[in-house]
Amino acid sequence: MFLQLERLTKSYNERTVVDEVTLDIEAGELVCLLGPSGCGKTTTLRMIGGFVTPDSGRILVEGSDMSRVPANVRPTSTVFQSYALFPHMNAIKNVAYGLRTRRMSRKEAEDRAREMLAMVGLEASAGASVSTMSGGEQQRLALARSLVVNPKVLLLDEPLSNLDAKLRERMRREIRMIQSELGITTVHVTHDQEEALGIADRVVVMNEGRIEQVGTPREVYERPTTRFVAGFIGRGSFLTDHSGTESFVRPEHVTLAASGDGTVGTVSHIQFSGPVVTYFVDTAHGSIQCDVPLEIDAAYQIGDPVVCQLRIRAKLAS
Amino acid sequence: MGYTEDDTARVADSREGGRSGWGAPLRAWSETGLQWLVLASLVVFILWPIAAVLRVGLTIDGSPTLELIYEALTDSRGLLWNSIFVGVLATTLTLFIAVNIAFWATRSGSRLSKPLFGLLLLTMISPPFVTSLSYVMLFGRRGLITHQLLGLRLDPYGWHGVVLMQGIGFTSLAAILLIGVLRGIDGRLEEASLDLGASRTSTIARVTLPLLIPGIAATSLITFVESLADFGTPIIIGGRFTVLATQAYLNFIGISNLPVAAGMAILLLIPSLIAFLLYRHFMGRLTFYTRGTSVTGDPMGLPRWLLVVTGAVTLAFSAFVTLQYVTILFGAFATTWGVDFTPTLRHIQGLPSTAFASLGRSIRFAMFTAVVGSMLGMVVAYLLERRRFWGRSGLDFIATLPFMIPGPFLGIGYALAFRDAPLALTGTLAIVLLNMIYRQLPVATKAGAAVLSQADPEVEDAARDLGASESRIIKDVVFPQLKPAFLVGFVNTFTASMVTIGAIIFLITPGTKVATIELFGAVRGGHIGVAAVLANIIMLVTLTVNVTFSWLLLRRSREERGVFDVPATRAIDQVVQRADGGR
Repeated sequence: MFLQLERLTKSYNERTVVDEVTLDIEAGELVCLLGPSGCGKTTTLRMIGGFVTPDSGRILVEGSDMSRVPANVRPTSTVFQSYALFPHMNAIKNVAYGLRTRRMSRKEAEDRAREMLAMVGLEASAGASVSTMSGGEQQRLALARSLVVNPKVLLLDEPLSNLDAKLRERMRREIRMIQSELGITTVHVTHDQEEALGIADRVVVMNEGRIEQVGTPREVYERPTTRFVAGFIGRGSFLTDHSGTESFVRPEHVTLAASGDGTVGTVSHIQFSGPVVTYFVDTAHGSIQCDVPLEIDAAYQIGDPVVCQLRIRAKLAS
Repeated sequence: MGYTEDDTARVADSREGGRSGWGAPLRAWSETGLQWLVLASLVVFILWPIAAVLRVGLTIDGSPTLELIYEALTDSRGLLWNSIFVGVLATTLTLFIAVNIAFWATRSGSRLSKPLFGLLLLTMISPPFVTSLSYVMLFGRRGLITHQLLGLRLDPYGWHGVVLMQGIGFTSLAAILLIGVLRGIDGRLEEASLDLGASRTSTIARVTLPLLIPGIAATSLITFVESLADFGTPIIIGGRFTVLATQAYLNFIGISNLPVAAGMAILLLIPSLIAFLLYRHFMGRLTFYTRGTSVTGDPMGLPRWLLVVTGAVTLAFSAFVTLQYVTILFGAFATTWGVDFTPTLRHIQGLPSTAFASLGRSIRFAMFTAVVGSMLGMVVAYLLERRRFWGRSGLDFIATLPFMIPGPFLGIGYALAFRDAPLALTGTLAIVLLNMIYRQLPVATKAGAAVLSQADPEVEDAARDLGASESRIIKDVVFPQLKPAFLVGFVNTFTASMVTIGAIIFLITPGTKVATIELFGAVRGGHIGVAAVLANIIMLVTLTVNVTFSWLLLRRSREERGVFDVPATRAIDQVVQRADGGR
């Protein structure tokens, strides 16, 4: 394991914000910490970065304990949510800064910084003042500044949250490309599920300081293991069978038929949203949402009896 | 890539995975030591003198008593009553003029608003006694107006003159504060009122004025405290009319009755503290009202009648203030003011060498305290704003204290606290400089804190992340961002030190005499020509430094627009600067 978190715990004033978080991350992997605000994802990231000291637990990079190593010595580098660019330095000075603190000569540092600026597509802005750069440019600059010091672990703290929707999507692709190219182990924190599912090798869903589920984007989407994960990511219906076991089904994993095997119910509400029609079907196990693609829609009416066939159904831990 | 920050001090520490060294802990330790040294100095040079006054004023022979306070309270001359009487009248006068000026400056649309603002700023940097001196020259027994023009033989000395001159003297600060508040009021509220059919007059009465009330309250309190702490005006033109501040001074300097002086100082402190607490309360609401200030568009104009009234008051004030300065300028060149107005250079040539020495000292002291004081202010601001440690909010309060304490109180406090070992500083140069530095510290500290609170703390994290040590973070990231605050602190501390008198008059010895003390002596001794020369020189020096550094400040802000919000820090600073009461 390249990066290991062992029972990492942190409390503020009696409130446990990170509770026994244990996680193994492999070299070159991009892992997203996903969760609502206050779930402890940012605190976890800041502990990895060395800005918050854990109350207990260990952080290991390539097997050596980093838990008490100060941030300025730790082989991690963070792209901050606010970018935290030095406002009094131009672009190239910002990027060269981390090399200068490592006693590299100005010439060499600026040469390397220039290469890194080229990599993120900012070669033309080397002399530009930070305040004149656009949000997207500042984002790239912050990324370049972190990458140039060749960290063992790259930490991204909601890096795209200050960008507009279009730019966010483009930057997501760019970050992923650069990350894969450099093969750098990355921990990315976000509250945006689409972003997490779209960029990560593995997604870690967190809630109230604890890890709820770890899995590939597909796993956490199709087979959530807890009620929280199911409810937090995407849409779907919770079902309770006669024994009291709870399960979860996505609307697109439900097929609707007029008769046949399956869960019997009655259409109670219909919502049209373009590519699909969503039927809400009342059954003995609960209300089931079902997305029917427009081209195969049979145009059921409210009150029609229907049968729901559940193709993928995730059992939830109680 | 090496991640050890200091190659020379790289000692493997197995517990830290062999990546850390001894250099970092050692440096962290010395940084912590420095931090505590700075913070301890706040206790020694701010809290301790205050405690000393309270100790002397509230005990007799070691046992606690309110006798000294009672004595001061029941003084036959009615000192407390006199102080409050003058304070209330002067505050009323100041607020009347200032509200008029503020409305005119923000709502008349006149191009003269800018020079008016310049005039207000100019009068804020003038030395003490300028108003008193000009009063004597204009309205005194041989005054230009009363005697020469009107042929009167009035006794001008008494409370009337004190109220008039304090009222005018305090107007500049009050007007600047109120202009700030009025500019901050969301213009859309007035537009909404007009839109709903209200006339301009009733919009002002029902919307603008109610929104201005917290600002008026805060400004009144500041003015009232300033009046209480002012001993220069009553001592020069009060005649037999005396107030607490003058008697505290006379008890201390004249008859060396320290306990009574301390008792009086405590009496002065009480209303100041109350005023300060109310001020903080009102300022909280004030910021609430002035949110969302970035509204563009023309402010609502004034109704005609109000334009005439505010214009007339503003004009009268400006004319009078201009007359004051012109009088003092000419006073420096008139052979004998009131008798012989023939131009002469004799006052300048005849300036005693001690006066030149004092002027030199003033400039050197002001430079020194400005550099040291604003640096210290930046360090304190950084510690208070960015470090978390036990007692932080308490120290924050201590660092703000000098700004609510009347000058004479802190002067007497220094004299009492540093009489004996281990810090026997009485009569030394150090005590004067320390007093100047710590009295003005809140200005630099608040300016620094204002900049830091706007700056993103993650920027410092970023530097740490990229391998910078704590001291390197301060050098590379914190200080460059604090530069505008440093300049603000520098200008203010320099100005305050050049024109200060309220506190240091209790600490000065012949060897540390400064120009304001020299000026005080000349005014009291009736040497009008000499006094005028000194006042002019002090003004010239202060003005030059102010203009130079303000230019540096503004030029910088133009260069890095959008990075530093200099106007904001300047405005905050102006609030802080003159809220400190007696100079």
